[in-house]
Amino acid sequence: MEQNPVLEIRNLSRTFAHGAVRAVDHIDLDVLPGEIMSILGPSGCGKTTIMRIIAGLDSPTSGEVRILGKDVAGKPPHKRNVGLVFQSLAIFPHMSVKQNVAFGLRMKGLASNLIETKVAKALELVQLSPERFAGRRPSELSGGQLQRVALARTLVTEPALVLFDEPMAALDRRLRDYMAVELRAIQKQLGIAAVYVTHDQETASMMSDRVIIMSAGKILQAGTPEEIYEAPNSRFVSDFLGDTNTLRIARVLDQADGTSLVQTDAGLAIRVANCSDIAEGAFVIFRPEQTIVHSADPGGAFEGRVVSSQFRSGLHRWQIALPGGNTLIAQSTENRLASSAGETAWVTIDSGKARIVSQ
Amino acid sequence: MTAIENPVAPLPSKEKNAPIRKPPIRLLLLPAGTLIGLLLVCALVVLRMSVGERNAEWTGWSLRAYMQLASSRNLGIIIDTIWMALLSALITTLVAFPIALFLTRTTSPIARRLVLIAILLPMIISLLVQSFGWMAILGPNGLLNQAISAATGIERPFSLLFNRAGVMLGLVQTSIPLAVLPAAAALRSIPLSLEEAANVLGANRIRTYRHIILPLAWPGMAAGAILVFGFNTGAFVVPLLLGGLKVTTIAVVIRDQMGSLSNWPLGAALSVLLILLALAVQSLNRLIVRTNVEIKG
Repeated sequence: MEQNPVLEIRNLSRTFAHGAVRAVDHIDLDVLPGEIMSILGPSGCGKTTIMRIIAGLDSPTSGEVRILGKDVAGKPPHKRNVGLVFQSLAIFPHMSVKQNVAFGLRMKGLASNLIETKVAKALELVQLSPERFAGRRPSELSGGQLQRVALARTLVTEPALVLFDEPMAALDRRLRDYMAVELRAIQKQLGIAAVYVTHDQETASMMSDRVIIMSAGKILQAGTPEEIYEAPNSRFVSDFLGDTNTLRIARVLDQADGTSLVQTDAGLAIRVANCSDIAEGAFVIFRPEQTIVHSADPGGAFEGRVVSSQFRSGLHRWQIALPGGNTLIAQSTENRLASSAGETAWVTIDSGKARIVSQ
Repeated sequence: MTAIENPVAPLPSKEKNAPIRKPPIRLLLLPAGTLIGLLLVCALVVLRMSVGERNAEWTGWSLRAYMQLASSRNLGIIIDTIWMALLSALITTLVAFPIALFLTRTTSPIARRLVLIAILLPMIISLLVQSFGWMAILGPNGLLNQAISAATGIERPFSLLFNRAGVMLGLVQTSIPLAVLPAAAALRSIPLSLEEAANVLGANRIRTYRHIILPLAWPGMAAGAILVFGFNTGAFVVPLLLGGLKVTTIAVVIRDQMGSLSNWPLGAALSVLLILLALAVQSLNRLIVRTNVEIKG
C-alpha cells in the first residue's frame, strides 16, 4: 500500500559563500508516516543544514520541501507544523518545566485548562511525573531530565514531523542508549514521523527505520540500518558504520559463476562471492567479525603476526599484520588466540560476506 | 573562619605541603581600598558639615540645611533632577536596546568594531568637549538651526539649547555606553537556539521578543538603566552648559552653594541627599541582580 510521505525533499541544494561551498547538493528524500529516518554523516556533511531548511530556519538555494504534500517555501518556522529538538535542547531558562512545555500551546492560543491537561499528559509520556517536575526550574534538572522536557515540549504541539538535531550528543553512552530506546518507543506509540540527524551511527541504527548516509552534501547510500551495514556501497559508508578491513585490488585472477578471485596490492588472493564486474582500482572490504582467526594453519588461511589484541564488552579483537604490508582487524566472541603480540596467527575471510566497492 | 566568610575562597592548603607562603590576597585591594577609605572620610566630612551651622560648620549643630531642602525652590530642583535622571534612563535604555542587539547580531566584525568604538566615544571624550559640541549644534545659530532654516526658510525654527530638551539630549547621548554595554552583555548570553526554539514552537518575531529575549535580557537592561539613572542624578557639566541657568540640577546647586555662596551646610545636605540616592539606586541594582541569579541558578 502506497502511503503519502509526510516529508518530501526534491532536488534540494544549499550553497554558502556565493556558491563556493555546497553544503547540500541536490538531495532527494522522503519520510513516510510513522517512520524515523536518520541522516547520518560526519560533521559538516550538510545534515544539519537540511534539517534547518526543513524547519524553516534556513532557506534552500534551490529545490523543494513539501510537508504533508504542501510546498513550504517561504513559510516561517512558526507556521510549518514541525517540531525540532535542538542539540543544545534550548530549554527556556527563565521558565519552569511546565511553562516550557506549555509554550507551544500558548502560542497556538489554546484555552488554559486544555493546556494544563496536555502538558500533564506530555510530561507523563516522557516519564516525568507532573506533580514532581512541573514547577521545577531547568537549572534543577539533570541532563536526561532536560532531554525529556525538550521532547515533551516538542511532542505536546503534535507536529506533523519531528526533527531531532543530535539531542543526545551530550549524554554519556549508557544514558544515550537508554534514551534512544525510550524515544523509539514513544515515537512508535504516537506513530509520528521523524528525522533524526546525527553523526553517531550506533544511535542511528538503534532507532531508525531507514538511514541516509551523507558526505559533502550528497547522499551516498540509503536503506535500513542493517542493509547499509551489511552491504555498504563505498569505503566511506563502510568505514563510517564501523571498523572495516579495506584492501586495494591489484588484479582479478579468476571469475566464474558470479564469484571472483582477486589479488590485493599486497599479494593476497581473496575469493569474493556475489560480484560480477570489478572496476579498475576497486577495493575488497569486509568487517572484523567476518574473519576467523586460527592459532594453527587450517589450510588456505593468511599467515600473519599478531600486532596487538584487546578485549572489550565481550568481544576479542586482534590486529594482525600480514606479509606485504596489510594489517587486518579480526574479531570474535571467543578468545580464539591465546597468543600475545608478536606471535603467528592465521586468518580466513568469510568470502560470502566480503564485498567489492569501486571507491 | 575565612572559608566560612568567603565561600569562593580556595580551601586552605596544609601547612607542610605549602612551604611557599603566598601574601594574603587581601593585599590586592590595598591601593583601591586606600582611595575608597579617603572617599569615605570625605563623605563623613560632608555629613558633619550638613548638620553644622553656616560659617561654623565644625562647631555648630543645626538641621537648618535639611529644612532648607524642603523649600519649594530646592524641592523643585530635587524632583526635577530625579525626574530628568529617570527620564534619561528610560530613553537611553530604549535607544540602547537596538544598538546592543545590532552589536550581538551582526556577522560583520568590522561593523561591530566600528559601532563599539562609536558607542565608547562618549566615555573617552571629556563631557565638557561633548557639551560644547552640542552647543555648537543646538545653539540659536548652531548647525541644526542653520541647516533647517536653509532648507525651510524659517528663522531659528528650533530652540534646543538652554532648555530641558537640550539637557535631556545631552544626558541621553553621554550615557549611552552605560546602557549599551550591560544590555549587549545580557543579549550575548542568550543562545540563538532559544530564539529558534520559540520560533519553531509557533512564536512569531514579536512574541519571541516578548516571551524569550526581553525577559532574559531584562536584568542587563535594568542594570544599564540604573547606571544611567545614578550617573545622571549627579549630572553637572551637561546641565550647566546645555541648560544654561534655566535648567538646574542638584549638582549645579551644590556647586553654587559651596562655591560662590559659601553655604557649606546646604551644599553638604544636598550632597548627602545625592549620596543617599546613589545608595538607594545601588541597592535596587542588587535586588535586580539577585532576581537574575534566581532565574539562572
